Amino acid sequence: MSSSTDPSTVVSAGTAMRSAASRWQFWIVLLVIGSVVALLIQLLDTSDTEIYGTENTDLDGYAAVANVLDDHGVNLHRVYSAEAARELLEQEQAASLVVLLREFPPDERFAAELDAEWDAGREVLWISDDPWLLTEVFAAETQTGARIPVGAAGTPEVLESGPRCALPAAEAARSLQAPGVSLRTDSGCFPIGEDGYVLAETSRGVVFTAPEAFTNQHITAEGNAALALGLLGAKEGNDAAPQDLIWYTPSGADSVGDQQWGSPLDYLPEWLWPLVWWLIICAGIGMVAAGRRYGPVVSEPLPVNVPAEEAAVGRGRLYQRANAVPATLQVLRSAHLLRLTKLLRLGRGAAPETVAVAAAHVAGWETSAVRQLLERPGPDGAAPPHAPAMSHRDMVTHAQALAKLESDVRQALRTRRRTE
Amino acid sequence: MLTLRYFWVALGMSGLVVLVPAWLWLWLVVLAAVALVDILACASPRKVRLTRQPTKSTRTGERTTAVTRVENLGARTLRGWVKDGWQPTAGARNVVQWAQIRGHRSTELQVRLEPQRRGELISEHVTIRSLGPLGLAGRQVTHRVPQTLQVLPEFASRKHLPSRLRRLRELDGATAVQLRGAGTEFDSLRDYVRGDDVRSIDWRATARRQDAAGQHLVVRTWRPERDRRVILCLDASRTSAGRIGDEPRLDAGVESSLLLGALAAHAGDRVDFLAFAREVTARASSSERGIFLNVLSMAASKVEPALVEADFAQLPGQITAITTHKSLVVILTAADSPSLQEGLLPVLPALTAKHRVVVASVSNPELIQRAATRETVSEVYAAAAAERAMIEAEAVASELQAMGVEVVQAEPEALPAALADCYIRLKATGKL
Repeated sequence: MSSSTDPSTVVSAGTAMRSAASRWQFWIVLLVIGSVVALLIQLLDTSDTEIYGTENTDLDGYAAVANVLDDHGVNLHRVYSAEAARELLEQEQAASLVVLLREFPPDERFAAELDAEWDAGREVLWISDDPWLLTEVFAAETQTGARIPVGAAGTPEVLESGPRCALPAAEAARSLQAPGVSLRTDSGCFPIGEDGYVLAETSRGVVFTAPEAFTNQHITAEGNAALALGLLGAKEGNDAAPQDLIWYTPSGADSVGDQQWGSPLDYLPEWLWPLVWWLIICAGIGMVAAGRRYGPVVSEPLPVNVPAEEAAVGRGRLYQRANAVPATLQVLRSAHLLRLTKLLRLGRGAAPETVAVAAAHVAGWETSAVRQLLERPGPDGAAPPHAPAMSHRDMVTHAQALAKLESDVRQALRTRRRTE
Repeated sequence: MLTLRYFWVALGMSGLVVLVPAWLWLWLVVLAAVALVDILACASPRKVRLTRQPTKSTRTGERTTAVTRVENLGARTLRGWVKDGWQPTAGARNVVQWAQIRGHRSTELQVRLEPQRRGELISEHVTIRSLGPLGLAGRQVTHRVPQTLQVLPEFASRKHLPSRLRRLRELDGATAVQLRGAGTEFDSLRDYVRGDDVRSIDWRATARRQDAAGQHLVVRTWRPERDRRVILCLDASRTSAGRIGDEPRLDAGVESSLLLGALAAHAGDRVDFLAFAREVTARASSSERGIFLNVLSMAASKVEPALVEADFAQLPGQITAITTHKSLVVILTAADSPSLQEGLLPVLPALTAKHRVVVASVSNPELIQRAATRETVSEVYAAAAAERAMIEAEAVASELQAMGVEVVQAEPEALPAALADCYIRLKATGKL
């Protein structure tokens, strides 16, 4: 009789696929939901966190100014590389240009080109309060001057546009209140000290060195708002004609292309990266090939199994933790007494003294020593009534002596039986 | 499913990548295409019929072979690996085998097994990994075709059986040895020979047999009782899970049951076996069909220790259900367990009133060893704990003896023989 099985010992491919899908259903759904959520977060989270960003609505953003400019029909074109800025300049011949220097210096070639643009009549505004960047760009003509003085409470002083101011926007604004630095030039607006000006004209354009003034935090102070609108090109009464403003913020993108130091990776052979990819694929194949099991994991229903002497071992540890020297010795004595009673055939319930005497006689030990070993010290026994507390070493000696006594008795009995 | 060969091929193709790195995508497509071709070209592992041949029950440690017929139902030649999913303790030597089966042909998959554990061992499935003609990739499918192997207890104490049987025969008077059976059943009359017990002279028969010489004394011979009941009660509760040496107490109990069961069945007694924890988990009886040793082995092979307290209170009822006559009740349990005081002792009077009760228990040689080791402080404490355990076991044993129970205590290997000797002694002295 053979247990014949029909071919349906295995499910069909489609069913197997469906059952696998249902088994992994939870994880698949989790993965899909997770990626959708991640995508949504990515899409919805458009808030600009860049400092002086034109969409940044935080205290350090320019969103307020940008919104007002937009209402006045100014189109803002934000760019982060000189390349893009150059293209925009070519497209929009009438557009003004703002160069906001914050972390990176502008592309040098582009900065030099701006000279010509400025000469050709394009409005160029440089905004920065970073002395190092300013020096980088305007080292040829000017240097940074004193910082805008700050009052006792931490608020910067209000600056007046000053008598040597030739810019109408500054004149219209009259006053300015914001932290920042100044440029040393011959003429300009908002003077600090003798030769420092916050707004000054150079060969590359107008330079404004207090960018804090246009942030959402400071835009409402004094004439800041008027200055911003005046400088950034919102022409009053001319709403109909849309204006373009190229907002160029130099970034790392400028310096990527023309690294002065070639990367060592550039000098590697051409086949290296394809090979690396190929080897990664090979490693994947190796893992898949080596990791494929022959069918499901086989389980082994193991029976319970406990070391039988575990209770005794645990009790020994309890004795030790409690330093139960008297109890330990008492147990040992009783055990040996019981065995000696049996060995010497003294009958059940023989008194310890009797056993001690008999054992001493058989083993040839001194009776007093054996009695001291076998009898309980204290009021019951005949041993010294006030024996001092026993140390661990004494306990070990005692235990060994007990074992020795028993083995001596056994030995003596064996020889006696042999000789009989 | 990909093979390691595919991995080596892919690794070898990295040379092509170095030579023409611009064609990386082409090489990838080639690599994928090769795998795809192999996967499509291999014989379907689903079109296979697997037939399990029934296995014969075997004993622990003995070798056997499990045979599975693999039939290729498709037209293509099936080339690949076949794995039989035996559980690890089945001790399968060659679970993964190479197979090459032409279309519509079949072959036999023979797996050599060396079971290490008694009980029912199972192979739930057979996995077939079919490779394509290139051996680079293939398909794998698992077929659910359960096969079971009944593994009986080892019965290592089998070696004691012949000597015990001979002693039984001696008791029976069946052999030439002049050892008079001391049972209570009258066997025959025969002439007195020197050395016979004078108390067994049958004076009436002697008077009838007076002949001319008048010298013939006639003695009665007795033989051991037959058709007595032996009931083996194996405790499979939590105490039986305790491991002594290499094996749990239960295994020693199983061995002892097998030896005593076989012996008593040979002696003509009726033997019943029951394993219990909270309830009876296995039964066997010599009144069942078949060779009793096999029946008993089969029943005992399924007994596993359960982590519950034994319910001894059910024993009198169970035994009454088996027989109402006086019988020999052998309780195989752990007599050194303090819980016996609450479990077994209250039940014993009900049993001893009617039956002869033997309590067989494994003693722990490790305790003796631990009690003798006294070099360090920790060892002395451990020795005291071991001594105390032994004193308690001794107390339980003497309490049992005081209730008229025979107590057999021995180390795991010696217990079966000791129990068999106890049985023979009881039989010889007519105490059954």
